[in-house]
Amino acid sequence: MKPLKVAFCIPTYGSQPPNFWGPLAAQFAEAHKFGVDLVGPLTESSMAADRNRNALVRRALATDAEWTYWQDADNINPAKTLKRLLETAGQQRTMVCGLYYMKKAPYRPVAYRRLADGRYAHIEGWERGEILEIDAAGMNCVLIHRSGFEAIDEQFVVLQRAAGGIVPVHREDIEGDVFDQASAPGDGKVIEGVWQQRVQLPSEPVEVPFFYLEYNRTEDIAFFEMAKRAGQRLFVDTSVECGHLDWRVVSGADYRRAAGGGQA
Amino acid sequence: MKALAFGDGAQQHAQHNLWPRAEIETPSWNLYDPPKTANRRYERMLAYFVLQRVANLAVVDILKKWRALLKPGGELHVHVPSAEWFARQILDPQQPSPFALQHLFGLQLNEASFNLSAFTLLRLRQDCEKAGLAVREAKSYAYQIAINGQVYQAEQHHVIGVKA
Repeated sequence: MKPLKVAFCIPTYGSQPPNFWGPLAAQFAEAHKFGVDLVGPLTESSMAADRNRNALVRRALATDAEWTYWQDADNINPAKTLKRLLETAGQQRTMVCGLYYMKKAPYRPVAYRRLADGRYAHIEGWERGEILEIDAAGMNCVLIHRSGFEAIDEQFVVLQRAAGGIVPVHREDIEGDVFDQASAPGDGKVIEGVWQQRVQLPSEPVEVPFFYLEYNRTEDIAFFEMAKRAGQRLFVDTSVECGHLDWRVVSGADYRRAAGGGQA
Repeated sequence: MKALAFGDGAQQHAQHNLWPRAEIETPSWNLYDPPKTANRRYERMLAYFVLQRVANLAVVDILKKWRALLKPGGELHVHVPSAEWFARQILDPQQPSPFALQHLFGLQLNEASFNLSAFTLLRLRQDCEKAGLAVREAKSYAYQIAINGQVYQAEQHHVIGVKA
């Protein structure tokens, strides 16, 4: 049987502590044991989280890797994480993640459900081991099939904001024409509760950014919103718990302790 | 599609809620020692509140025997009472469920209704994996049971394992 190819993506910002490397090596070794052919590790090192991730996606898509697996540089993941996520994904799912926890008390899980008003709330009330559908997560310990990125690439176009910067928009959300140059007195203003954002065609071709920072939110939120709009669904396997490196390793035990000794 | 369902109410649950178009069989043989002739016969199997009746140390072996009944790619659905729910109830200082003990140890109306194992969701998943099943779904949710006209609510685990 042909080995499954997985691109192992690690965006980094500066150096990693000594206790990062051992568990990482254990993951590599374990992957080979169950017949995964790792591509990489692919790394990108700049201070821009979104730039790093976008560059890694493009590099991974340029290979024949079927999946991308994301490891953050301040996390330690159990050796069998990739195996477990691949099994949970099976043939039906394109995005599956494990669980890790915020570094500060009360150590809430970095996995979210979207609220009706557009904000995100940490998941709560699950039983350890459940596989849950969620709306967004941190990017450590996330397995994404290449079709997830390809769907975004196909379904989104990049437009230029007249006020500066670019924005990916789903093709079905564009009505009428988009002009090279146009303006109106209301541009940039909030009128009757609607923010009048003028967009134009970009002056030169721009690749769809999968990750980007906007509106005081982290770069992964934009990705998961685009993925959802492109028909992808995200699942968290709560049996996979990872450590979050601070001056010590923050784990699920910290969350459960802070929550009063029991699983929320 | 051929399916096998066992446990109280399993056939009804399978027919109405899971696989309405499947040809659903109930085992005419010993559930814990299936004949070799039944191997690789089913696309779907439902073990509905049965696994907790298996002796603790035999759970993985029984799961392996059930796995053998599946065709490659077939699914085994396992439902068991939640040990976590029991723990929360029994430690609840306010109002533990009067059904908590029966939930964990069985109704004990006859020899077949004593429970010999208890499962957290993590343990159930681990046992399925040891038996060679890849876990694709793992959920915990409420179930109801009527005893002498009184309806009680408790929680169950539901795991779907796939034979690779």
